[in-house]
Amino acid sequence: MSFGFNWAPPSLIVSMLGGKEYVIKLLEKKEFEVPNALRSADDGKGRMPSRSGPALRQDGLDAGRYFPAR
Amino acid sequence: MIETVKNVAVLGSGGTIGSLVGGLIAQQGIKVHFLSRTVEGAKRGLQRAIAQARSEVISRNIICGDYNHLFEDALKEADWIIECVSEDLVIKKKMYEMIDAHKRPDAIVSSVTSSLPLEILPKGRSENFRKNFLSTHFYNPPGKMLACELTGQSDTSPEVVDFMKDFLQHRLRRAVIPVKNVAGFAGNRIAFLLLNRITALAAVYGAEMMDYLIGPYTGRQMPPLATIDLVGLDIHKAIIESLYNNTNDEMHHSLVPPGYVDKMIQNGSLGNKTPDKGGFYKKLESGKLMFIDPASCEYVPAIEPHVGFVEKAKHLIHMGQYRDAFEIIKTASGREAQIVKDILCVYIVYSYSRVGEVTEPVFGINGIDSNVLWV
Repeated sequence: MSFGFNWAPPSLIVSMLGGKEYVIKLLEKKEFEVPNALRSADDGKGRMPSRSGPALRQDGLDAGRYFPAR
Repeated sequence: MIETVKNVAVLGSGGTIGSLVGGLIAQQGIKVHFLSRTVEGAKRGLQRAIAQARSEVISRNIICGDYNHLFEDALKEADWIIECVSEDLVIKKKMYEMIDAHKRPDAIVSSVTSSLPLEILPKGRSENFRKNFLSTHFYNPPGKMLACELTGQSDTSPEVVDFMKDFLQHRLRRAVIPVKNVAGFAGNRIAFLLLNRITALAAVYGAEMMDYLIGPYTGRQMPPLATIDLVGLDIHKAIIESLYNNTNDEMHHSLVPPGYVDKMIQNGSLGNKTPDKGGFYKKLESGKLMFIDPASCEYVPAIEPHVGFVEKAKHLIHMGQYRDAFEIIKTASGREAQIVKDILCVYIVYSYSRVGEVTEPVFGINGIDSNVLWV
């Protein structure tokens, strides 16, 4: 079973951190092996969070759902 | 091959996921047999299903019974048999033997497990059973989380997988996630590794501090150790052990629970289901909140941590300024900031590294994203 893993999706975290170029540099600095899927992904900057719209829309994930104000 | 689902049998309906999934199906006007070891267990499941639906009307579609009295009749009628019994291979295989002896040739059988290897579950069963056997891994609670991972094993007929995908999407309104037949599928594989790493960090920095640092402001509805309390420490350990035994990747070493978690389980401190004994959290009758001290396995009063960058980020999240909040995290320094950034990095690295392994490469990171969303 999976229990309540209502987490911000990994690509949204990449976006929130500033996009893939920043994240790749961060990972390299921390000596993580950078996954190929990240290197070949889009830049992640275009995924602007919004407060409305369906959660699965890949062009506008609703950040308000994943970052509760608590 | 069945053409539609009019009758369903839920085996293990006394448990949480069995009763809630069974309730969802009954809400669609489908007749559901709730079967359990005892009729009282099945009726407890019925009450849970009613609470989820917030309507007693669904009970018109639910028939409760025990394995000794209703099993054969229920299986004769069932188009779809959902196995939700204990996460124990011996118990499941015994159940499959019984199902194989009594099910209709065209009935579909699915398991809700994601931690036991799907490939070995139907071993020894008839060709017909194996052809109609697959995994429908509903997320919990299914009334709030729509995701359902779907995969067959090597003998499953592709038509059966296609039929279930269509039924789950259009009748049960699930967000179906096609996953590969690998241990933990996608959701549990990623989430439990991360949770286990946090239990290890809690041994050093404390349980309360870890849940504070990796709290909702980092992108989750519930702090990680509170999530393990919800899951149950025993279940958490069972899933971690299954992942350890059935996977092998660059973070395999992170799939060993720290010693204090074993001690908590031995003490009966399993989380929310043992409120008297507690879990990572324990609430006293007075309402006072206590936390486990991993060093002693005793409960200690909350210290209510207050770290500058965390408070700033939480405030910005509260204001809806998500990117600004992450700028605070990015530019923060000190031990606590490094812990937060390390965990975010592990989440990113582990998730992106599983693309193509747990989901089809064609979906890219979207296939992984779908597994952690609350849709």
